[in-house]
Amino acid sequence: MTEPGQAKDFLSQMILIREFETIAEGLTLRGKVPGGMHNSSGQEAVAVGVMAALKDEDAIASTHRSHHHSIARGMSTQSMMAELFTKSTGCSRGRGGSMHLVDLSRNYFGGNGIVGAGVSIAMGLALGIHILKKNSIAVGFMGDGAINTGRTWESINMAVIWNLPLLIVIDNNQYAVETFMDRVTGGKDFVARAKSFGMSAEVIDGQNVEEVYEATARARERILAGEGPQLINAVTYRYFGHNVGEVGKYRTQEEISDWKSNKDPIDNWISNLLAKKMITEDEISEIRENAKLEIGKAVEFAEASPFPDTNTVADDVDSGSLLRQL
Amino acid sequence: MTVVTYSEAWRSGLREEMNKDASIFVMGTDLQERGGHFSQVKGLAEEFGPERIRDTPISESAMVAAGVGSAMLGARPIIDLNFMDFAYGAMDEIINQAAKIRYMFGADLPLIIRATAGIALFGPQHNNSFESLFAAIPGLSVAVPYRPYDVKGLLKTSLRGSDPVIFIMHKKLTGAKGEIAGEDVFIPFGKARIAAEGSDVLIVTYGYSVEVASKAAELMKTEGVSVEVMDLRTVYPIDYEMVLQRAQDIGRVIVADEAPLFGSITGEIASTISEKLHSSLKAPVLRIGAKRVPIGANPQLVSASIPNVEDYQAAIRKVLTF
Amino acid sequence: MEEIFVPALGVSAENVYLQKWLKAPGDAVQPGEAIAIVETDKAELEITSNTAGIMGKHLFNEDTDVAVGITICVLLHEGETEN
Repeated sequence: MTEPGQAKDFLSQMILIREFETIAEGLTLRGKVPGGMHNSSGQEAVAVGVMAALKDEDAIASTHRSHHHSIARGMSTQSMMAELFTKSTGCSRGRGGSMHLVDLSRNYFGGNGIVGAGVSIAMGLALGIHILKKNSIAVGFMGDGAINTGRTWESINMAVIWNLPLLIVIDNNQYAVETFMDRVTGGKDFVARAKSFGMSAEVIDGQNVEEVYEATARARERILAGEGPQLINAVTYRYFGHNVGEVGKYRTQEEISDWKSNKDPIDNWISNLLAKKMITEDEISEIRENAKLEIGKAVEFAEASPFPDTNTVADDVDSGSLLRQL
Repeated sequence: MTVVTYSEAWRSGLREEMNKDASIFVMGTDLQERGGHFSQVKGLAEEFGPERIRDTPISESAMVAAGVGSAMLGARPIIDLNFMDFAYGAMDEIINQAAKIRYMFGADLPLIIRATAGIALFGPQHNNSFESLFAAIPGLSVAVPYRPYDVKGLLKTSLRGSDPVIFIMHKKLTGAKGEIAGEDVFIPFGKARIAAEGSDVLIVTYGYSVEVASKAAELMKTEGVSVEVMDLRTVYPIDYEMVLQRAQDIGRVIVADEAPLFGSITGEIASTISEKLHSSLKAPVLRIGAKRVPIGANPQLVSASIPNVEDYQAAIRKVLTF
Repeated sequence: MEEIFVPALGVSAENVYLQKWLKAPGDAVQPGEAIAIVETDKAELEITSNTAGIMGKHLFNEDTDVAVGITICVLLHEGETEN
């Protein structure tokens, strides 16, 4: 069982993510976020549970829907919001935007706009860890949609044959944009597919933060013990459309309501903690208030920040290192 | 100076740098036993072991992704694709990932992708000269050496840099011999060289075409024509300082390679020369290149697809008529 | 009070064309009811309410361009007045 301090941290982080997404969604509709964003509301427990089980030295690569991963890794919500606004103070200096949040100082190697690319890069991070003889693991997030792109399986195969320290977490919200996964997935079973490649894999409840945390901690230990790469299929749900403002007909209102009312990771964690008397209503209110304050400050910071200087548009395409006469 | 083959020059530069930097490793198919399809790493597995000369499955996408990830983490990977034709299975990793990571994330990406390209035999899917494809991608630098000397020197610079490099070697040059320099000679990107001096016509080219151009230059001496041949060594960046200086000095310019003319590097260079120098040129800039066709298996079809020495001589005579 | 605005959707639109108001100031509006029609670069789009209320003033005239994200009118809830 999670100890009380950590239990409250889980809640604070999940509420902070929900608040960030709620505010960012509204600002996106108001035209503040060029291009739009991918809202992770509903998937908070996957991010928070995984990140809590990782160490600072572990390396992470993520997906196009990764605000929750970024916050759970401890990134500054100010630099994140500024990046959504494409301001110069954003974590990618206004060049990456919502899909490319990054924090190299936290070994967080960024979100990725191409499905399956993040998990392949994570395999490369794991190879780097192996080559440089570091005592850490790499974690690659993927969505369920990436289960059907070839590079995922090229990468899994490579991780298995080289016994790389790689953990793959499927942030499985069950829909690839608007396509239900069962419609397009031969065999339908992600875990069975991974196992057929010789990879240890398990399916877990992605709405239960404690279960996610414990599964990740176990997988990390197995990897460091030399047992090879591991895969966790965390089943979760996304409350909003694929991109902001999209209201598709691919899911019923009943289905969405059922997940929100009965399987919400924040509500369920609160009920759990209240039942065990690990938290008080006052503490919960304080957590919510703090989240509002923090995200309010993030928006103020983003609003007040300058856009990138257009004179820098051609900077850092490359570093110029190859032009030097050594 | 030591005389070695083009492939041995790669090996020589690689060995020197691998001995100095334990973070350098090579991955690709058939490297350990076979030494690569062009003997480019022959013997190195015995020297450096299977961790650093790493055999991969035939998974080009994962190979390049493994390079991107490990380079971001601080290693210095070389992805050896053997044939450049196999890069197409990894285009997202090359174009969307490797090329853009510094611009997006500010991260170093010391990644080298080596492959053999150019036109020889073995049909449509093992022959290409699409260096313009890579040179057109912001973030990538592209080496196209002709001499063993430049193979080694450009490789050594690549291995000390912090940016992604596409390193293209020409298959017809694999066994060609030439001098190489010692441990401390590095050749920077974006520095061309004069392969043959001349004063009547300038041919700007690179890779195997340096050889064809040089033969044509030699033949034209009998007609009393003095042809200069410039070897670009890298097609991104291009040494425009030298190109424009010599184009201005000589006034008659041909830009040549063996890629299809449409959308090629030669078009880029010819238009830049024309824009910058048009009033000081004595003739329009001419181009030599291939037909816009895949490369057939039949050797006569291959010859009919790409320019030969006679085509070079004809272009030289033509540029002199203006 | 609900602020009604043209949502920023898609990857290109910065301005949209306010073609027609479907509700006049003072009209009662039900949740989900269409209030105005705008044209984007892709299609015609109905701007709808989320809540029930009474229409406030039109802040833009028909046949004009409006920026996405800008409030074009408000819906007044019980006891509210427009300032």
